[in-house]
Amino acid sequence: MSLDYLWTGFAVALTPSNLLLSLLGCFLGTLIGALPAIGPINGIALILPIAYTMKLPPESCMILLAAIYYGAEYGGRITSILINVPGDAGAVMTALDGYPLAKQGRGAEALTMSALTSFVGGMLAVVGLAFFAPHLGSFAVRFGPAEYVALMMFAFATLASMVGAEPVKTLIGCLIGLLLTTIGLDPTSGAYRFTFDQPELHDGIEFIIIVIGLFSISEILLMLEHQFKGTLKPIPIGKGFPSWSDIKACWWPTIRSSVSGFIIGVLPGTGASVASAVAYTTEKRLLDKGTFGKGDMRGLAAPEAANNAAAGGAFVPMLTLGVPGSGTTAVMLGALMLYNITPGPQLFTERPELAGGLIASMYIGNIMLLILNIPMVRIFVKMLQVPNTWLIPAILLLSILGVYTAYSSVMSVLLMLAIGVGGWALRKQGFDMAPIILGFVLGKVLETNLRNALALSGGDISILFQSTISNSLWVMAVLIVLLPWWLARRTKARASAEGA
Amino acid sequence: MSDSSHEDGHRQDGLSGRVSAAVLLVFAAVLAIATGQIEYAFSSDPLGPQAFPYILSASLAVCGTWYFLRPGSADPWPGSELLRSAVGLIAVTAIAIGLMDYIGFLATAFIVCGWAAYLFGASAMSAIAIGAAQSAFWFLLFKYGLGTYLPAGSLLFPG
Repeated sequence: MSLDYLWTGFAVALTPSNLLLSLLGCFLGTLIGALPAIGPINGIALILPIAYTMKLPPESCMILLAAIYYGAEYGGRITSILINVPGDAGAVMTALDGYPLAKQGRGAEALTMSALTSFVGGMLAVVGLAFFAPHLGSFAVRFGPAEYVALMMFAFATLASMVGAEPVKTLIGCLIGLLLTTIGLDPTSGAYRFTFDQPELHDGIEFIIIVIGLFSISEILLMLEHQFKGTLKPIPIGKGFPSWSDIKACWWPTIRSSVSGFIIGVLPGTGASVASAVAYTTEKRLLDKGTFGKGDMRGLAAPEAANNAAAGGAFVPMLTLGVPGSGTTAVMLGALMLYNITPGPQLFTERPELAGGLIASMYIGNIMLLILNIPMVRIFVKMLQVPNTWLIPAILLLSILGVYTAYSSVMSVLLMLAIGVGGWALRKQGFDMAPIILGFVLGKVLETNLRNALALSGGDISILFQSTISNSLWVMAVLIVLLPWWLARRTKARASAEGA
Repeated sequence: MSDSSHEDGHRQDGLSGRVSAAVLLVFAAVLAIATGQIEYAFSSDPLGPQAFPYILSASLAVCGTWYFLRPGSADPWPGSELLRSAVGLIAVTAIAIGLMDYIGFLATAFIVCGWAAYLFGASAMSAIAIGAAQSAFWFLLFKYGLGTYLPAGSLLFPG
């Protein structure tokens, strides 16, 4: 396919007004993303009517919205890393190593690394988007229910890496996450499951309620405990730029996670949360020697790169097929429709200034984000030096606001508090929160697609193993579980043979 | 912001893990019973809405038994003073949120922030100041900066 549309796009995106919009979008997006639960989707939804009222041309509107999208993706990292309150679903995995790094006084380094790896992930995704978009669009539609089941099983296989010294706790955590996905209306049969006649539970428990409860509220309770024990220590700010050895160590995890994140982002219905979860668990499986989850830069780099690559990948089905790859691109699709533009492969030929302008603005937006955020890292990290008597009430109130503004329901906020208390009790018992989140992220997609696949085949389970894509994923799932185990056994056998 | 790592302190074995495991086993049983009570007329797929929860409750039962037999390590449970504070923080926050539609967001935020500040070491006067300043700041930001709906409260603004 000719790349003429891209050159046209650069000509559009590099006009002073569009450059300014891109800068404004990145800045606003970062601010919006830093507020819990006001992630990219809410940011775009907030700005869209303003952009439309300002009578911006469609390409300028999309450039502004895409910049907000990217900015908010980065903004979500700030609270995730510094105060363990993920701004959106994709930032959950970032907190697993980001927050321990901040507690070690490496918050500024973590934020800079996050900016760098997000940049690499975002840029690789944009390259992928520019060169492969039309082909990837047709790849995405070949993913039926059976392929999604295989993909989810692959994702669960990567979960094997989370199994630490107490595998039973990991498994229980994962089962709790899976269980939470079963609450609410079952769309296939119309049955209400575990709603106990509470209308607030009919739509199930929203992800953000679980995330804020498990991470933010339980953390506040743990802090309270340390306040009592007198073990709350001030966190040093540390240096701002990661060391060269950290950058080198993160290079391959970043590249691998960018590629996997982009591919997962292309698939409709999966998105940044699955992409970052798969990237984190895969890298943990490949590289971890007991440091992941305790402040390992690679554990931060992988989900960050994947998350941003998935954000780019999500544009592929949106632009080529008119199928949104994520909630945020669904809102952007709505924006295109506001302008009476129907996305599809013809968009690249009929409206090159729009498709190309959007892709070109992503290149520019990524560079702007890097320029904008790295100097601001030390300002963000000053947040850690705010006294606890000011900071903790702010975290608590932001958690409440995050849920209330998203769902306008007092019950949702109370549910978040209850989940937080449950999370605190589990953490006291030595449970990790990550498997619960993973179970929740993957559970719904797994159950829905498994049931859809079996409905298509009339109950014949062999449908799960009929396509090349699903078979490849099954093989990869088996390999990812068995290969590290086999390699460890071989190394042990060699070591004992040499010892003898 | 301060270090809240719970890696330090004594780790205790056995009893609290077994209690948690027992709770989990009871929960798995309740889940299985509740699954059996899911009502549906028909399902377009062969599995139906009950299969997945049944698999989960059986898996939870297996894991719960395993956990009961090998409970591993856990943090010690908090002392009564800390437990009172934790319960107090959650209870006051929950009550303030529960009353939000009646007393309004500003009053709720004032109570939540002031109480949390007090529990985290602020004096009574400072806690009042922190509650007032934070509730006003976040209210203005969300209400006027982001255009979010926040309840004014039927107590102050009836009708």
